[in-house]
Amino acid sequence: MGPIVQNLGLSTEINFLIAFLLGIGFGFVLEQAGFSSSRRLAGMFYGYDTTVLKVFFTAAIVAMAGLFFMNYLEMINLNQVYVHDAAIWAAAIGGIIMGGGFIMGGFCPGTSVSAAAIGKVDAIFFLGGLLLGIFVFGFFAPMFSGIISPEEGSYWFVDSHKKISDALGVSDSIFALLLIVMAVCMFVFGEWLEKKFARPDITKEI
Amino acid sequence: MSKPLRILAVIVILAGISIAFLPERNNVVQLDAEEIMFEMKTESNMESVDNLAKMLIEKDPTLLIIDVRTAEEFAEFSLPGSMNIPLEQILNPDWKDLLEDFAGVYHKVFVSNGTSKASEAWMICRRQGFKNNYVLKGGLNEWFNLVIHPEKPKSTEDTKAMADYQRRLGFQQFFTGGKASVGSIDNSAVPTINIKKKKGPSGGCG
Amino acid sequence: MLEKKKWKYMNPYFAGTLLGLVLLASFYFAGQGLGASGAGKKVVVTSVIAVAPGYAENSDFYKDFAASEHSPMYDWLVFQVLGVLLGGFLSGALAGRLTWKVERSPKISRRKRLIFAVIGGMLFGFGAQLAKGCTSGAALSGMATLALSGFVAMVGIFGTAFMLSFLFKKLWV
Repeated sequence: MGPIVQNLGLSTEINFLIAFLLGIGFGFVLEQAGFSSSRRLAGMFYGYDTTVLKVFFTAAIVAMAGLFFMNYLEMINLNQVYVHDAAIWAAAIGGIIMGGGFIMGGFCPGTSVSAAAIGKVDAIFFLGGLLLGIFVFGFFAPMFSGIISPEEGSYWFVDSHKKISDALGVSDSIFALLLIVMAVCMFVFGEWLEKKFARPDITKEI
Repeated sequence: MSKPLRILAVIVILAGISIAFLPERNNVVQLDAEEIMFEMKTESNMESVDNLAKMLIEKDPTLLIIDVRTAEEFAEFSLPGSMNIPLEQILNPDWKDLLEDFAGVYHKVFVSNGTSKASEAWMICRRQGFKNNYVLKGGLNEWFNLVIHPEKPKSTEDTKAMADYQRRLGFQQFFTGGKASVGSIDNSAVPTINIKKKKGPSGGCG
Repeated sequence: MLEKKKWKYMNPYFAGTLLGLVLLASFYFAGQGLGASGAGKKVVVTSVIAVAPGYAENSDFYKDFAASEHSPMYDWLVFQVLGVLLGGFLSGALAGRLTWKVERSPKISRRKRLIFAVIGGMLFGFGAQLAKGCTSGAALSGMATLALSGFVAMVGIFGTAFMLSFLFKKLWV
């Protein structure tokens, strides 16, 4: 039963090898999908290319559905799977800052790595900025510790559930269905956008 | 939207609906939660120091004392015949057979300095449905208070307190044997298995 | 003159399905999702410890790493991101897309594009430290595991980018 590394007690080195192989798959698919092009990534926000929306949400629902089926087939123990657990305010503020970075830089960290790999100079500069941003954060880290790990009762503390389904009070599987329906609606919307805001001059170039 | 995409959308939504109707494996754990709460409230998962001492003296073959403190702490002092599984390794598959104890042979008692680490270990095992697990009530601190340095009850206390005290003096005699060393008496029979520390699910980015 | 044949990009739904399967494999094998920004942090930490060990020992942000016996680069995400680099390169090589290029709208200069790339990177790096992850680690992996904070980060990233998009239209269109 998965996660394999924990449950078979594989060594750290093998775990890292698995990480490397998964990374190759990740980078390959990102590049094949066209995520190595910043104008294609930014296209989602202007409607001329909604690839990001399609790839991102397809990946999310495929992985999510896969986890459900694997759990049903007792192939994976979901209690051992890491569930992202940032504090809500920290995730919101961080997300807003990253959104600004996205529209100005045209990449997100993962896509910039795969773009840098094929020689996109803007991606290399983006990566440099990324490291610089993390370094700058290092100076301010103590200031933000109250937001990142708020103590109970503090202003930034939100007593909420870890999972969105619990927070909304529905079961995981019902939420999964909702998310899938939502994703399909977004795909339809994306196809429509691409027709309406088509910019063949740009899409041909990238 | 083109025809293949429409067909795809239908398939995806059908998959979503089937997810919504999949029986959730996690529910089993959730039902258990109430049972676990009940056992914790009624303290039916607790083993008293007196009982443990008695079992040790009688050399009860089913007794298995599992010390969940760190290896260093364990080396400093441990109960006779106890084995060391540091808390962070409790999920290690090497111990699964032992902790699960499918045949129900052992009476397993988790031991830590207080009760918090032991209770955590108990909880982890209980959630996986493992049975016959107990927590040493009051932990090693209580062991020291009651067995190594029993306190003589005041004359005003009832006869039961006095009888307890007498019995504990007997325990003290047995476990310290008048020797200066209070440390472990016989650990040679316990197999020491060296295993690597495994990293559990940890942060994605961060 | 023969035009150099370029591969088309993969169909986005097919690519998304593949990406989802890679993510699923990551959960199945390693019990955690994919990420990227975490590796960046490890690079920064390693450099700071090498350049200014005294500062690193006293800083909240670095001291845990400075005290650890392993190098901060001895990390799951670092190896994963090295894989991304190789995977991206392989794909680009196969598709004939390996060229040095600054991709930009014809309306802006190269310099302007690169300056904005650095600013964007800085904001992303900063924000990812707050949200414990970037688009991959927080939003994508978080969504697949139905993590509340993953959805919050996702809405934050895409919502803000969309709301600010009119300001930076010249950069892209």
